[in-house]
Amino acid sequence: MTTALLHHAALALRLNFRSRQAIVYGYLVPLFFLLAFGSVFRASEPPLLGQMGQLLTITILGGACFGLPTGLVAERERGVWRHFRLTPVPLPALLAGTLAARVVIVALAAAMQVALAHWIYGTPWPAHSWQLAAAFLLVCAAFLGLGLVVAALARDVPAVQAIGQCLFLPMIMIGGVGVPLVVLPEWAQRLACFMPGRYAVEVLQPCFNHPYGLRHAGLSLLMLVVIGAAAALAGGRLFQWDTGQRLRPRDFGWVGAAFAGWMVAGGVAVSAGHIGPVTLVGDAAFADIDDAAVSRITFEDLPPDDGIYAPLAPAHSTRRLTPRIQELIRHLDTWAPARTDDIGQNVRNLLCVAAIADIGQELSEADIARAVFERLRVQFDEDQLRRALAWVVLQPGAGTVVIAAPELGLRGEMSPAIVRERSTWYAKKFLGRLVGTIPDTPPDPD
Amino acid sequence: MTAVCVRDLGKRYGDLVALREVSFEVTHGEIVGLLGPNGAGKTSTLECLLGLRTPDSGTIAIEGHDAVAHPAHVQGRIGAVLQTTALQDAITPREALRLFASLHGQPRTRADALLDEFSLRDKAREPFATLSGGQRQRLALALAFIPTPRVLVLDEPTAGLDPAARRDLHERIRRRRDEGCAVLLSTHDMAEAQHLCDRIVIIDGGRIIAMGTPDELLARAGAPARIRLRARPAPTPADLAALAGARACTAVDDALVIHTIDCGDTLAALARHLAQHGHAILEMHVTAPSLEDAFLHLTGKSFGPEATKR
Ligand SMILES: Nc1ncnc2c1ncn2[C@@H]1O[C@H](COP(=O)(O)OP(=O)(O)OP(=O)(O)O)[C@@H](O)[C@H]1O
Ligand SMILES: [Mg+2]
Repeated sequence: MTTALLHHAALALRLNFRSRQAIVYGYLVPLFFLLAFGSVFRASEPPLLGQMGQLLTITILGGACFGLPTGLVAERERGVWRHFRLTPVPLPALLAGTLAARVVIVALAAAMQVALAHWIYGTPWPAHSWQLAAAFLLVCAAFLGLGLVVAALARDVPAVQAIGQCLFLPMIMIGGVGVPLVVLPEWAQRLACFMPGRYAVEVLQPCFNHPYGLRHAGLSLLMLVVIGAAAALAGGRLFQWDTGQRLRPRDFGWVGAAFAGWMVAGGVAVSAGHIGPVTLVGDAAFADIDDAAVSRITFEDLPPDDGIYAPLAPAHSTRRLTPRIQELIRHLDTWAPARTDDIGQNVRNLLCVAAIADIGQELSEADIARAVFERLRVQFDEDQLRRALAWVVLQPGAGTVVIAAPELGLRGEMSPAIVRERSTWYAKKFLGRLVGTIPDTPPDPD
Repeated sequence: MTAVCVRDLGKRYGDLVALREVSFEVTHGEIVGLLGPNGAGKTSTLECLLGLRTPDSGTIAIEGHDAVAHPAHVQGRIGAVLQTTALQDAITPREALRLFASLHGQPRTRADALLDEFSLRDKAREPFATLSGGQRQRLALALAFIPTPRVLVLDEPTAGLDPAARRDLHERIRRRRDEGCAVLLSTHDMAEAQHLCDRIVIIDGGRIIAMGTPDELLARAGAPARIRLRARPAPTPADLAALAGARACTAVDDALVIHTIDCGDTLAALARHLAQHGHAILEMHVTAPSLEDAFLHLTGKSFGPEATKR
């Protein structure tokens, strides 16, 4: 029977590629979305990378809302499934074959989008391809169940279009799939919690550009499982192999069950405060940095300690500190930005002090950097500090940065990007000393 | 064990009673024809049997398996041609046959052999959408012959076939019967039923109105044979109607048609009568009674679309 099912799935795939309509909907429309997104987001850095989750979600959604049910309803109308009924192979198995073929059809479209984005716009390849594959399958599973519900509700092929649009358009417009969640008003973000599209984006996107991939997408993964399981169960129960079959009143209970999955997910999300857009870049907190991540950091190509960039005074320097530096050090003990609730952010803010001094070409920039290092060691325990520094190194774009500190007597307002760069160098220099990879320079002879 | 046993089958579509108390059997090694005009309930009966429709009452057993309660048990046990077979536009006959062969657990060589047997070889790679009606029907038939079950259900199998294809199909069906297969087919072609079937079930308006071998049906219906005669000088119809076995005699154009229930007796008497009275025979035809006459006799209406009016 397995070979029969493979045969069936392979043939379904072949027939799909012979249908002009299927090619237009399955491949031309995704291509169009890619180009449309490309023309809007090509200037973002890196180009289009932050939109790939949305793009793939649109493709899967299209395959589920239109591709799958159109094919199923057309075959049902012709009586193909009545003929299947007469074979010894159970219909659920054949349906599974049809779904598998659809996953392949959609996967090819998604692969096409990823590859074309790379070649046309220079979008980097996904950072976590295996996780992407897994997330992709999960999203497919969740959405194809919906496609089955659409097929059950639609009496004929035109009805598939109508019903499919009822699912597709809201998710594109206000569900965080087409129009990004960030630019949506709060009410729409809230509404988007009750639609599966945003969770799909939230599990696909980090596979492209999040340093930790799916590690922080647990809630969204769970939502997709709930939504997908409800839809698949309902879609399976409602499957009709003959146009003569009509939905009975109790069948609408199953339709309700499919959408109950959305409600449950929305309720959980809202009560968990999972409403606004999740910052998808560099979102891993410092607490998630483990020893393995720390050990992967390398300390080559750091600027020398006595150079122009990110200089660092030797430990136990006997050089006399100017009163202004002594004042600054005293002030650092109680400096508010280093006293927030967030340890990682506190460390980052302190590093910014060294960075601002460095960029501002302070005369005693090296001493200030050393003072910051001392302050860090006093204020945080070693394990925390190691992980917080690693966090800054691994996720230079995460959190916020301080770009001016007049209260510490430092002049000027610096560019955030440069502050982040220098903070990272200092973080590396400090971390290297903390873990013993970089020997702390002996006291200055004079 | 009977191959197909249908008892008191009832089926309604809303207010329309499509089948009532339909009961019949088919044993292995016989061809049974379900004969009836359009809308008689043939397709309804056959599709209930195939598990494609659910009857409202009655029982159906296929080789002892309850087809109503456990349609899955009979799946794959019956080779079937449905009245309408439409496959995907883009599928080719070869692909369809290979797919269904693998679904039935048959080797691909069987699919390819059927392509030849149903003369579909030159259309093997053409999409279904471009096949003619008869070619589609041949493909549907080929699909039905993929499995080798001991029950065949064919809904109007010869519809749309040219005479040669029809003859081939009859031959093939007979061969299957001789191998011990039970064949149940529907048709509204009287001649086909009479010529092909071992037994006939006549159905009209959802009920069985007669059942038996073609000969039995003719005898039971008492349908007359017709003798058409032209002679000079013309005999009087009244004289001819009085001949042994004759029931009636009517003048049609310049000929006389004698209706008789005993053709042999009537012909002998007619020969004597003509000789005695010096009539010269110009032309004479004997038409054996047909199922059509039987149907007319049984239902009191002619066999055609108007017969479906209720
Ligand atoms: N799905 C249906 N819904 C409603 N009425 C139906 C349905 N199928 C059949 N009927 C009605 O039931 C009656 C029997 O139909 P059926 O198709 O069994 O006839 P048939 O003997 O196969 O006719 P034909 O020779 O035209 O194929 C007809 O009056 C038909 O209109
Ligand atoms: Mg019919």
